[in-house]
Amino acid sequence: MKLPYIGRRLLQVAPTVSGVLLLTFILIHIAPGDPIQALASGNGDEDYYAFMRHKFGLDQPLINQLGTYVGNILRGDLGTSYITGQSVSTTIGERLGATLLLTGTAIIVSSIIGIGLAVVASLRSDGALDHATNAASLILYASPVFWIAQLVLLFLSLRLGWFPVQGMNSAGLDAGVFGTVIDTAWHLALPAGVLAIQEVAVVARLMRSGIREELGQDYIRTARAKGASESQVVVRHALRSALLPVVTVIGNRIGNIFSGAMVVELIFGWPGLGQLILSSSQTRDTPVLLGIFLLVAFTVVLSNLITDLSYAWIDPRIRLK
Amino acid sequence: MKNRLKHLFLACAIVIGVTGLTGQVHAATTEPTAPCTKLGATETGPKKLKLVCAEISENKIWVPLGGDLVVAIPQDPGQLNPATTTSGAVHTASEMVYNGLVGLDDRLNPMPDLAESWTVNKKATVYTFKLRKGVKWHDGQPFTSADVKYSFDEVLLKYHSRTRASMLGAIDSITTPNPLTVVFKFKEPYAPLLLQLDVTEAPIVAKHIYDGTDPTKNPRNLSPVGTGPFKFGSYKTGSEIVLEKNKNYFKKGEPYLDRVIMRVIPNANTQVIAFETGEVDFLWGIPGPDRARLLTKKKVNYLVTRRNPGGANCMMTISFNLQKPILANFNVRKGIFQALDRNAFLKNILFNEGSVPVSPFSKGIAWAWGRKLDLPKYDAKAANSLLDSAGWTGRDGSIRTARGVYGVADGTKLSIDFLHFPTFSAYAELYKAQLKEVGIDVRLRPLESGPFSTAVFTKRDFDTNIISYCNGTDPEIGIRRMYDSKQIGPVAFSNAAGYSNATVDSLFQSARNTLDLNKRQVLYQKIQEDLVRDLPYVWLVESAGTRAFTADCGGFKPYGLFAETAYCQK
Amino acid sequence: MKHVPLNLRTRSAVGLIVFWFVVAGFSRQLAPYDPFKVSGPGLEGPSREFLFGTDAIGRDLLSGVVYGARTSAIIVVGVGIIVAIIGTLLGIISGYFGGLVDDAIMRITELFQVIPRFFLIIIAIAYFGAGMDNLILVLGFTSWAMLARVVRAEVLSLRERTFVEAALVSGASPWRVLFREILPNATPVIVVYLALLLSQVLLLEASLSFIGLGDPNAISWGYLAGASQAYLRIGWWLAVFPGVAILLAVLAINIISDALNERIKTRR
Repeated sequence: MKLPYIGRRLLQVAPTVSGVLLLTFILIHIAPGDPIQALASGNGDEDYYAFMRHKFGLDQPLINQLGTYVGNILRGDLGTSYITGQSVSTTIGERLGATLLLTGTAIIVSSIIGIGLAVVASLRSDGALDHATNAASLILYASPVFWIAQLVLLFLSLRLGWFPVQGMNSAGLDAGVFGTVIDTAWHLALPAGVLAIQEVAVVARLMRSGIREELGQDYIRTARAKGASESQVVVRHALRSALLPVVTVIGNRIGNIFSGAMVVELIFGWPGLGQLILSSSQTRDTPVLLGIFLLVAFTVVLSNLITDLSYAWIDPRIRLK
Repeated sequence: MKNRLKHLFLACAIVIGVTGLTGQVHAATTEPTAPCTKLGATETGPKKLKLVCAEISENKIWVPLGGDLVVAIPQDPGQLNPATTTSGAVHTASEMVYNGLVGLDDRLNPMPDLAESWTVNKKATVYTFKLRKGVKWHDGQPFTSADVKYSFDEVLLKYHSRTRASMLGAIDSITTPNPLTVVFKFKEPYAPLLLQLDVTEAPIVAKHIYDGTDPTKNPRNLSPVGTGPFKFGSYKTGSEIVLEKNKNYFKKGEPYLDRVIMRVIPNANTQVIAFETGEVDFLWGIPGPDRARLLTKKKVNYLVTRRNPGGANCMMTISFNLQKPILANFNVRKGIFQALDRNAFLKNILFNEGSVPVSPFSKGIAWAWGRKLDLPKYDAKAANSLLDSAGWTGRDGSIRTARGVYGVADGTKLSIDFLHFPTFSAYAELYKAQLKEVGIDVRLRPLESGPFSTAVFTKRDFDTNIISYCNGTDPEIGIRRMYDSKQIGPVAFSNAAGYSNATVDSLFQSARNTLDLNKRQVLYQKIQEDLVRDLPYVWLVESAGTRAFTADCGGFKPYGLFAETAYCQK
Repeated sequence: MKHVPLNLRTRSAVGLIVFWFVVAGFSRQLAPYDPFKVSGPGLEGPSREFLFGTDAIGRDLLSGVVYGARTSAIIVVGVGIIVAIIGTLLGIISGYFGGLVDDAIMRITELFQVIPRFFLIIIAIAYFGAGMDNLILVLGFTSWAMLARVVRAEVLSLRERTFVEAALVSGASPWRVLFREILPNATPVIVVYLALLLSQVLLLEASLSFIGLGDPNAISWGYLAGASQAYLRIGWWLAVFPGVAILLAVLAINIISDALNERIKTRR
């Protein structure tokens, strides 16, 4: 039952991703301006513009450009950055690790803490912890991320000097594998922490309202009536069903978190995709932008598939067709 | 006095050059004859570094040898070949790996770099450069005239947009009679060449690395080989670039630092915090709001300069679209000029980093800026009556409407747009606020550089805009493009106003063909008098740059090979 | 509907939102100065003359925050309406009818969900220019996918439940079941999601301003908070007042959504 389902879903990946590509390709190309102007950074003459446009094939009709691009994609070639002349896959690859490390850490930490807090808070319903968690998560969620990030920097880095201000490693680091891991972790703490704090708020809030709702359901009453303890009720029954919306949210955040990470990456000088997409959109580096969209689109499609599969696993009442 | 000196120096350089009486011969380094001065806190440095006697800006001082300098850069360069691009990010990160044929000193005098001397024929059509002997690329290969020819023919004149635009049409041939001689022949007299050969305008790259490849895609752009004071060490994209001391640098004794580490820190606030915690030693600029606070700190030193990686002598300039009926009216333009309190721009936006222009040309071009010009002064009353007289009337505090304005329907509101880069939004907000005072409604249109250029230069779809026009080191380089009627067109940052004045056109042309600096000055003075009569632009503020560095370091130049003679005692 | 008394927290949240919308409605009358004009010296701290201080070029911040209430309200309501309509409709149809309809809608939804929204907004605004209208449209038309999925999941789950099956067995028409049985039951999820989204919109708009893509023609809270970050250390009031406005609005939206959630559940 499940295997054909997965196969069918995988087949749907191609059209979705091509749709995204087509949409972004058109959006970027119908927008005014072209990369040559960014490349010339305010210099050059018409002759230079024509020369460079020809070099990049930008003098071709849009449909031909699209054709060439699609052809290259099918051959596994994402193209070459207009601005740096480097291959797009390398350019993105170099940034991907940093972003995955940052977002991965934030997702894992926030999911564990968020779900944990929600469960504990539900067990002691209307207790002090419940209120405190609720209030804290509400306020954290309501604060702009750049606010939190800058205050954290001013306090923990500048005032107390506990954490480095920016970067993924110390300047000119040359310290073996172990030393590098420690150094990276030390640099990771603040940006991942800031990113996770807001995720915790989202997960905890959603989880808590989910559990509460489930606790009012018939089958929970049945379970209680059968003599199950409160913690058994929460963990075995309510948690499972309440995970539904949370799984959706976490699944979706794997795509969204790239964007959330952007501001954090900018502030902490974290060398990830966020920085790259901002500078590429400023210089209109279309191949790099399309490459990133493609990558994120793939990631999200796959995480949606995983989300759907976990639906079925969590709530057997849902049938996959 | 200083200005006259500058003027004199430049005059000498060009005059001696073009009259070709002698080839100036500069010694590469001189043995220190005068005694060295002691550096303030040298002995108290935590690390005992060896001291050497260094000549920095004509002073001899004892400086420590070795150590790291950490520099904050706002953007990842993406690649490290400055010959293929004019991108400020690439140039900032990579120039120290390279050299130009001719350097420029603090007063913009040509100085020997890879060329040790040069001669110019009388008509300024043939320049002959004698190259330094024994210069080696970082990989050990010898540097020869073939590298120079290759760099120009295959890289600079193709991909360096500024050098291509100014030289490609003028140059006849580049020849290499022997490995240590390069000859540039021009089709017509070409005066500005010596100001265009530094590492920013014309970095020399290695032929043996790039020959036969597409220089914009060569993988060695990520691990560059140059002749400069620092060798490429490592490059972690988005993170840092490490440059290491070139022990075989042809300028004996230099550089003094062991490493220069450039850290990519996009956010200006973060840069400042990193500077304050000591994670970073050198900032290219201080964000305005932090200026006053940082300037009072004892542990910080400064270098204020008009020269930046993006170009020298930059002026924030508001363009009027002269093709729009509203702005074709001189009284409206003058009214807007007088409604703008330029001192407020300097004080509230630049936090006094810069100056209010007194002439259309930047004061940084000491011999060319216009004297005794009567630029309209800030005067809201005068602005109101000018706008009234132009047919735009309205009650106090409300938006003016047209009555009998040529090309505009009666009752039309006086509403204009203002295009600007998002980074210039502070200027935009103040512009909007000040014009509101005289009953002009301003619609702000923030656009990134690509769409901005399309809207302004290709489609000419704007009323007013703001551009940082870098005037350059010679009016021919950075100023003529703003006023020449032939430069109205789809090229970015050309004649944005669409200004067309036959007298000005011909004056610019004669100034270009005139080699005597005094005569050129007279011509430029006339041009500026015309410009003030026509007001196609508002010359808003001249911006400067402030490099900030920890008091432990010193010996910096404003840009280019900025750390060639830098030292740090940490 | 059983009456659940509003607690103090919810009441103050409702009060805040009402206050916000009143300020938004009468911003022109309430603002002491024209927020686009220079009214005093630059970077002046809070005083009797300027209660919230002035910004770098001397504009009154209180007036900015008052006008910002209007702009931010327009953005939130605009995006909310677009998203609620598209997301709910598609989600319910998709989840309820299943099969080919579900497949088609889900492919479109997926398309819109996998487009990285924030990146798309950055590109759209960087290339087509910053503007409130652009922002509302782009946000509205790219944010519904998630709601559609959440609603669909809820419908999927509800469809299997006994009361829906019972209704269908008893011969009720599918549309009737959809709107009488399933939609009311899916409402809590819709409300929770919309609240999350709209408070996110307020924050997202601030982030856009922070990276320099705000709309300088329409002063919003996000614009004020984002643009003030450069002055964090010399003009705290510039960051604090608009930031607190956002914080309170987001808080209030969330508290009210919690309360709504409770009420709907008690009705169930």
